[in-house]
Order: sequence, then structure tokens, then C-alpha cells
Amino acid sequence: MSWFKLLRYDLRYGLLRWRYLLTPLLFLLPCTVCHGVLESIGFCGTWMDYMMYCFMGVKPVIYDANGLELTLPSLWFLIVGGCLLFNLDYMLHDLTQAGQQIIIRSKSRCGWYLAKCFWNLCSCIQYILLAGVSVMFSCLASGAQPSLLNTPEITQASFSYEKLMDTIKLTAGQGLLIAVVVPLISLMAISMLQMMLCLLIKPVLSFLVSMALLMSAVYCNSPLVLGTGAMVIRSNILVADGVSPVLATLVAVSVILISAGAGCLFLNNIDILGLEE
Amino acid sequence: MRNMVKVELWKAFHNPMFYSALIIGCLIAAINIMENYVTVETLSEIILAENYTGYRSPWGFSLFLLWMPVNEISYGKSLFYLVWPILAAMPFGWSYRQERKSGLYIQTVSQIGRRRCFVAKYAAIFVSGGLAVSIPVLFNLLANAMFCPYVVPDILNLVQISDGYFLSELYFTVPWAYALIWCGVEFLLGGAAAGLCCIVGTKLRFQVMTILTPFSILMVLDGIYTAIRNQTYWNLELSPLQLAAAVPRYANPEWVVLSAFVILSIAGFGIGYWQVVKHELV
Repeated sequence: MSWFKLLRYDLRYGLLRWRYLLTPLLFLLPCTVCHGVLESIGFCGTWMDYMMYCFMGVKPVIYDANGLELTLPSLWFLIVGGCLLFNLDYMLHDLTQAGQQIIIRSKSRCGWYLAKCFWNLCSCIQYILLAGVSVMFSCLASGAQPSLLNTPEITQASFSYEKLMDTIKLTAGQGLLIAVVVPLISLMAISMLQMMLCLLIKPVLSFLVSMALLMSAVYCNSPLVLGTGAMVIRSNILVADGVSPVLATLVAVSVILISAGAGCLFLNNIDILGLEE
Repeated sequence: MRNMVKVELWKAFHNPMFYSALIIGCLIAAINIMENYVTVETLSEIILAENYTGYRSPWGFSLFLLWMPVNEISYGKSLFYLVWPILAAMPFGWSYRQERKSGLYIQTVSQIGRRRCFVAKYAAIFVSGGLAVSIPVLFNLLANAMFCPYVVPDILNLVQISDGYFLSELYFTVPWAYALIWCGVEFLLGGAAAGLCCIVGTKLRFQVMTILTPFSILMVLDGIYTAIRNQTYWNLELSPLQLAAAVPRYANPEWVVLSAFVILSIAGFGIGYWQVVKHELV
């Protein structure tokens, strides 16, 4: 059985699921809040402003005598956690159903797992694409421009971070990099890590590990912590002591590759007949 | 009926998921304890150097300023109050789906009826979920008490609790009573959140998705409230996810906390009852 046949099966059954229809509803919430912010300062905004707001995240926690305030980014947790939740059970669903037959027929556990990895990456891309389309509809409904350029005044007001650089007028490429590409790759990395952990520990524990990682990103301002890349406010394009998007991408790509390799290794050594649903 | 409740409770307390939830909860609470230990060591040195002799807590040097539900910036606290619905649902929230699948539920129903069976199961889910959330909080309180001094908190300390917060007068006068009452509140909220697992009945194929149902519901409610709050600027915390912490983002008066408990319980029990007893016929 060709590997592409496995991939085609995963893309057909893994990407066409009803749960993805919840994505627009999840992104409607940050878009509503962003619209409120824009109204309060008298701007209409652009698609990029909305996307940057959705993946804004939170400024790093500073441990000094004056600044002990910490606001957790509820909406960021919702949209990032939503993607992880959508991707949590597909691999196990397949492994405890048709997957066992497919593995026998394809004669390769590794090939089967790599098809799942590819599906996982495609699922994250689909999530971000749906997010982009949902944000576009929100923009059009609220009278914003469908532009890839940000509005510096809006970025200044919505981020309200004293460490923002003076020039926060981003090019379309820079905006896409920090508000779409790096969050997407970070999401892919966490999702791949979560899928690999599902082979070792119970899925609920692997989801808890993902949540702990996301919470670590709130506290640590380091590219080594995966979720940091998914926060626009942490990018060094916007703030002086931010995280380099290139470095965050490199770390995320390394985690994706290590997770795929380790997953293949683990899957070759576990008893798949003994897996519980 | 009483025997059925006993049996369900026995099953809830004698399964690995209950112990896993307790261990994970206590591990997260231990992160907060370690953070507090470092803070206390640092503050002790400063206090010794300044020869402080007052009876009120200087800066954050008190058990009741560092304890997990009150602590405002600890990583352990933030993580615990993000994942508490998962911890609540882990011990027994999955049992109905699992027993329906294995056929055990049908045997029980044939002996005592669907209604009693559901009530007994809900009671076990509630108690086990409540304990999975409240025991780590109590453990955190007692462990912190081993090295944090008992100093009455002062309104001048960097604590967010003020007028309008849950039992704020008690907090500044008899903090131990406040702390124990708060553990009870955690039990009630944990139990009510765990009960939300009944809403989905056997609709979800995987145990993990049933366990994550309360978390998903509370996260979405939290997002909706954040969106509403940004338009209305209410100074009230109405998100059930945040209400489990003694110091949420906004004021949490007693009626809000109790209303959240009642609404979550009614939603879990009511929709669960409809789903399990009326809709999903054996």
C-alpha cells in the first residue's frame, strides 16, 4: 500500500470533520473584543489588525517591586487550546479502529504515523485558514479594510505595551510572519508534541502537558518555550526585547521533526492492540 | 438508593484516574509551594536586615498572601486555575460513557431503574470531582503553613481582595476560617464542573473528550464573558472558570460564587438527567 494512499485517507477523514465549523465561533470572540477597542479609539482597522489582536497573547511577566500584575490571555488560550483540542483524538480514533487493519496492510507502522503527522500539520493549516476567513468576515461585517497592512495607532492602543517600538508600521510580509506564519508553526509543533505524547501517556495527560506549555509561554519570554511564537506581542519585530520569529520557527520546526521521529520510534515499540479508547 | 450511592462512590474512589487527578493536582500545587518557599526565603532576609517588629504582614510575607487561591502571580496558581475543570472531570466524569459501552450500566439499570442510577452516578461524579479540586488546595494551604508565617493580611499589602470580594471581612479578620471555607467552595465548584460531563452522555466516542467537556464549556464561557466584559466594563467576575480562584480578575461577591455553583449544578444535573434518563434509552 502506497504511503500516499494512507495520506489521502487521513486527509479525507481527518480534515472533513464537523468540529472545524466551531473555528469561526471561537474567532468571533476576539474579533468582537477587537472591534470594541477599535470603536473606542475611532478607527476601522484592517484584517491584519484583527489577526494581530487574535494572536496578541500577553506581555511577559516582570518580577519587580512595582509590576506584579499578571493578566492571563483568556482569548489566546481559547483559540490556541481550541486547535489542540480539535487535533487530540483523531490519531487514537484511527488507531483503535481501522488503523490496526491499515497498519497490517501497509506493513509499516512508521508510514502510518508519518501520514498522521502530515495530517496534523494540514489540520493546523486548515484551522488557521478558517481563522483567517472568519476574521475576514468579521472585518467586512464591522467595516474594516481587508488589508495585510496594520494600523500603527491600533497596534499601539490594543497592545498598550510600553516596550513597543516607535515604528510599528509593519510591511505585509512582517505582519503575515508574526500574526500567521509563526503562530501556525508554533501550533503545529505543540500539536505534534501532543500527538506524540498520546502514544506514551493518556491523552488527557498529554493535553494537560500542552496546557502547561502554553502557560509557560505566558511566564517565559524565550524562543525555547513553544507557545511564545504564537504571541504577536512577544515578537522582536514589535518589541525591543522580544523573541526572534526566525528563532521561534527554528525551535518549532525542530520540535516537529523530533516529535515525528520519536513518535515513529514509540509506535514501533508499543502494543497497539492493548490501547483503550 | 443509598447502597447504590455507596457502590458508585466506592468505584469513584478506587480507580487510577482518581489518584492520577489527585497526584497531578498536588504536583501543580507543589509548584506554587516551591515558588512560595523562594519568596519567603528572600523576604525573611529582607525582614531580618530591616529588623521589622510589626504584627501586620510586611509586603507579601504571610501564608494568606502566598496561598495558591490568593496568590496573584504564581505559575502554579495560574496553571491550576486553568486546568481545574479537567482535574475535576478526571476521577469519574467518564464513568457513564464507559459503563454504557461495557454493558455494566444496563445491568444496574435493570435492577434499580434509570432515574436512581443516574442520581447515584451524578452524586459520585460530584463528590469525586469536588475532592480532586479541593484536596490539592487544602494540601497547598497546609504545606505552605509549614514555612509561611501566620500573619493577618493587611489591606495595605499587595492583595487584590477588597470590599465586594468573597467574604472579604472574614479574610482580613479570621483568615484560617476564610481559607477553610474557600476549600469548601472549591469542592462545590469542582463537583458542579465535573457534573457537566453528564451533558454529553454517550455522544462522544472517546473518554478523553468526555473528560475535556467541562473544560471546553468553561473556556468558551470565559471567552464569552471576556468579550461581554470588554463592552460593558462590569466589575464583576462572572466566568465560572475564573471564579474558582479566590482572587479572580474582578470582584467575586458571595452571591456570584453561589450562583455560579447553582447554575453549573443545575445545568449538569438537568441536561444530564434529560440526556441520560429521558433521551438515551437503554
